[in-house]
Amino acid sequence: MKNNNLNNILKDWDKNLKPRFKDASSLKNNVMSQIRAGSNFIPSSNIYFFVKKIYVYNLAAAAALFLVICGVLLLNLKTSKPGQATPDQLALVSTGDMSDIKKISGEVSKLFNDKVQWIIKSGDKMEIKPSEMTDAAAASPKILVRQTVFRKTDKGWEKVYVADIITSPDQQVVFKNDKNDGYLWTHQAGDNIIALEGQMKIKVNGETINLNYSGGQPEQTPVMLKNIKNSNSEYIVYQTVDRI
Amino acid sequence: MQESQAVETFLKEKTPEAFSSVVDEHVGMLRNFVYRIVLNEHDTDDIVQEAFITAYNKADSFKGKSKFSTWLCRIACNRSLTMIRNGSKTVVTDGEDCPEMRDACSSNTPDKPMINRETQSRVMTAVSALPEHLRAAITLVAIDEKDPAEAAYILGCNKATLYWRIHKARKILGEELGDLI
Repeated sequence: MKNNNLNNILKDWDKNLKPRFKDASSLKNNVMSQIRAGSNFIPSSNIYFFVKKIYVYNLAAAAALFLVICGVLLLNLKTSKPGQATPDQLALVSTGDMSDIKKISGEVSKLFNDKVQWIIKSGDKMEIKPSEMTDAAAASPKILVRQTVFRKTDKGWEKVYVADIITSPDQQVVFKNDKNDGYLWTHQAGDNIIALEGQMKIKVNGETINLNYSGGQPEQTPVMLKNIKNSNSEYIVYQTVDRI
Repeated sequence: MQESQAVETFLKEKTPEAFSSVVDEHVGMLRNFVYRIVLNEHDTDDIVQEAFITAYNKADSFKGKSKFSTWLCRIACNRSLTMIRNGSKTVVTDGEDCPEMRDACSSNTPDKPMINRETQSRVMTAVSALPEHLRAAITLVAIDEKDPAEAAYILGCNKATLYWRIHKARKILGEELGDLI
């Protein structure tokens, strides 16, 4: 409703804009004279031989590139282990995970009479923030934000930290604990996209990872938020969002 | 995509003569579109001019995946955002010295609804203060009622980013114009 009102206000504003443009014919004359003076379009037929030459070079380059890629792929096939999951696969929220999260969210909500602002679950630790919201707002559908940190090891990527943040849309989550410090805000934007804004510090293995992001993210699609490399370690952070 | 006769002819012939009709057909639409982003007549005309010349020179790269007018808007939008980021200023006005706002108060025709000067001025100030990429997104969707996929194409971003920008723009405008909404 509010969006419609704002749209109407913007439409009225637009209808009442009366920019004082010069005569359109003078703009058109400028465009046409510049086109005629030097920016003439080259008909495709005139550049046929030039294009053909480029095409032959490109074809040769593409063939060479194809051979190099095949070589690299073959090497990778020999070195990579079968069945090894990639971080984006590991960052997915499985059906089993989602069922557990729903159970936790449901039980906690029942315990606090549907007045829960957010829940953070990391490993066997769980934090709950009771809410001051009205019943309707607190009982609105929840959003899950999963943040997963991976560390590179000799064996591949190892999951070193997972936090599941269960929150209500349009509510700012402010948290401060020994592992996580910052805020997160979510909004259900439509078309299976969740808008997020967040700023946080995650402490893992003595490293502090700073995250600062805003944007839309499709549901159930892990997105890499950060990649940190230093002299002796490499970390990546993935985020997955879903509706509960 | 169904194109107008002028566009069809130009895409077939690619001559300045054929392009002349394309300019006639699109100049009004493109001026309005760009003006809402840059809010300055002079910059608008510079951008529209460049957009037409670019479209003419790059006509071969137009593959017909969108309407020609949408493609033109994309070129113009890209140029507008670059121009603003490179330091060309947009007009931020309080309405007192803005002729369109003075006129708005006296015109009350069916297609030009009565909107008082103060409201017009407040909306102008709020819209001008939006970051350019948010302004472009909200005007495309709220005023032009573009389909999200088309608006995202014009802005050169994905739909998720478009939704985010619209949401952010609504939030900022809501804070500024809350009592009007």
